[in-house]
Amino acid sequence: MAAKGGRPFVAVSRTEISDIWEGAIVLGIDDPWIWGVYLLCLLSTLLCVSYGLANWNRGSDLEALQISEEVSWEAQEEEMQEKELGL
Amino acid sequence: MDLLLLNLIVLVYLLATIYLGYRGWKTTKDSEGYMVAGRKIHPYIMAMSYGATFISTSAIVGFGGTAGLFGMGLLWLTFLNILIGIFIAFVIYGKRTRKIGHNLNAMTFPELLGKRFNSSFIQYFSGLVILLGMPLYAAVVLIGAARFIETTLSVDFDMALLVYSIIIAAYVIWGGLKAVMYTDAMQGTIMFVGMAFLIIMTYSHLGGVTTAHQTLTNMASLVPQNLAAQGHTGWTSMPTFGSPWWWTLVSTIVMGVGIGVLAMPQLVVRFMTVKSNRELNRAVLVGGIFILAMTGVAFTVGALSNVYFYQTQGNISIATAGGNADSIIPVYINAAMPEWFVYLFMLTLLAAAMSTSSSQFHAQGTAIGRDIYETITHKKGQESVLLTRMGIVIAVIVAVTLGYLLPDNIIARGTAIFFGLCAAAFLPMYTCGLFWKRATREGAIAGLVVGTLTSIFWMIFVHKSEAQALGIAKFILGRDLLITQMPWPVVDPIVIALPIAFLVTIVVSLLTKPPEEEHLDLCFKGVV
Repeated sequence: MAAKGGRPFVAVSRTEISDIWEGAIVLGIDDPWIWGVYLLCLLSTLLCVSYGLANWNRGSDLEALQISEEVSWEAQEEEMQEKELGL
Repeated sequence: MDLLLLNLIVLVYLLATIYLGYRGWKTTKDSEGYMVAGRKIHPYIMAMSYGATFISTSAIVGFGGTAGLFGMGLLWLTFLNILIGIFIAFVIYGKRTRKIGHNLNAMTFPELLGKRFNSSFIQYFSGLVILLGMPLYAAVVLIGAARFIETTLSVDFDMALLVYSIIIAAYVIWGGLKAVMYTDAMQGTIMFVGMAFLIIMTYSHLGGVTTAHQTLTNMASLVPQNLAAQGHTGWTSMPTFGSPWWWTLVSTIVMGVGIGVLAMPQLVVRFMTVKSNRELNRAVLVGGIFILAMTGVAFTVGALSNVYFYQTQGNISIATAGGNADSIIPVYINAAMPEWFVYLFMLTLLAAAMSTSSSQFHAQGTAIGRDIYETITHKKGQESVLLTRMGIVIAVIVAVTLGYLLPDNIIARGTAIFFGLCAAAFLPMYTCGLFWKRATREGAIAGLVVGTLTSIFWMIFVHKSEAQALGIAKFILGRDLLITQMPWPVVDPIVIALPIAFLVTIVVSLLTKPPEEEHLDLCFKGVV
């Protein structure tokens, strides 16, 4: 695999890599700060989508605790309704 | 354009809004239903409501127009909107907010903070900060919506303002947060469809993604001299490092709005409306896609409008829009899109404005009723719904009055003032409250007060945009700014006030007595 100037990739220094990035045109944009953020927007959306799918059914693992909490919330809510609305 | 058809479409939309408001009212029985929507909201509704509240008309038209002027650098804001505004907000902040909010039976953001630190001062002071900053932000959205209705539906401005405010006030006052969230979800769906069509049609019009961007890249030499002097280097490149535009982009737009979103009271309260973390996990998926479709599309299309106008009229966007960046998106939609889309886009903008306004009114109402009045008078929980309703009426009247009374240049800064104030005042205390058990009440109070005051000081005396608009520095000092040396006049208040407030919260916490274990156990029960 050859980099800029036909030299082997392993011989390319950090500065030269940055030069290569500077010269790269991605999706018609030549500033790496702009095509980079364009791709970051898409990747961060992908992160949200993958996280949502991977954890679609997770988050209710403390079910027993939640059920007991819900019972107490329901009781609180009834009390609240009674107090506020006189039901 | 067929004005009758447009009015009919808007009428159908308003009827749907009223129906959803009615549904919210029917299922709301008590203060928990009214303020946190009964804590059993569907993840789709939660995510769309969060997104639609977050994105106002000004995010699409105002910031989209800014992208038309300065280019795709604004996409850094979109990136932060998705990564911080959705992913970090939901996954990291949201889950703890929901759980601790449930544990403490908190119904508003100030109440969550107040109960977490066992301090009624925190609750009413936070309510006051909301009351100080939010009316300006609400007035921005209100006036923007009324101007938009005036120009598109040919309705008189005063009438537009009145009818718009009455419709929103009606469903917020009666239906509470459920009505707000149900209508938000519908409005968010309309916004998503509108923006999805906009990006597809723009790219296909300009020859595809790469061709469109490449053409814009090749136009860098067309940047006018006065913009180049501010650091503009082209529409697909970052501004010159350290230039005035670079500072505005990085400190005000990207950091101020991008990070400030974490501590927005009207958004945080939504985490407390869902039943479990599973709902938040699912909402992340919806929210991420939604925000990309909003600001991602608006900023890309705004920048690409230059290509369209150059190819069709031989001018860049800002010249075509007569020098007014706010007109770039509307002028582009009217010139480049088919007529049916113009109707859809108008509905999109109306939906964006209404979804933001309704949540602002609700948040202010709860701040006035529950956080300030009830806390100061110690009449907790007796007539919360009635007081909040009265609070909403006050909020609507104040926003409308401000819209009429204040000059345009102050109104235009309303969003930035509110975002900056919220970030500096609430973010340190909120973050420490969720993640640092050693944080103390004294630390939280010190951070809240110092963050608020530093932010206000910087806005009044140093940051040019607000200082000039407010005119207080001129009145006191006889000159516009306290410091004129660059870059200070263009450094956003958040850059100064947020780190100071964080530091103060941490240092004062470490110097004061740790909170009681018993209280911490109650707050963090079941938090993983």
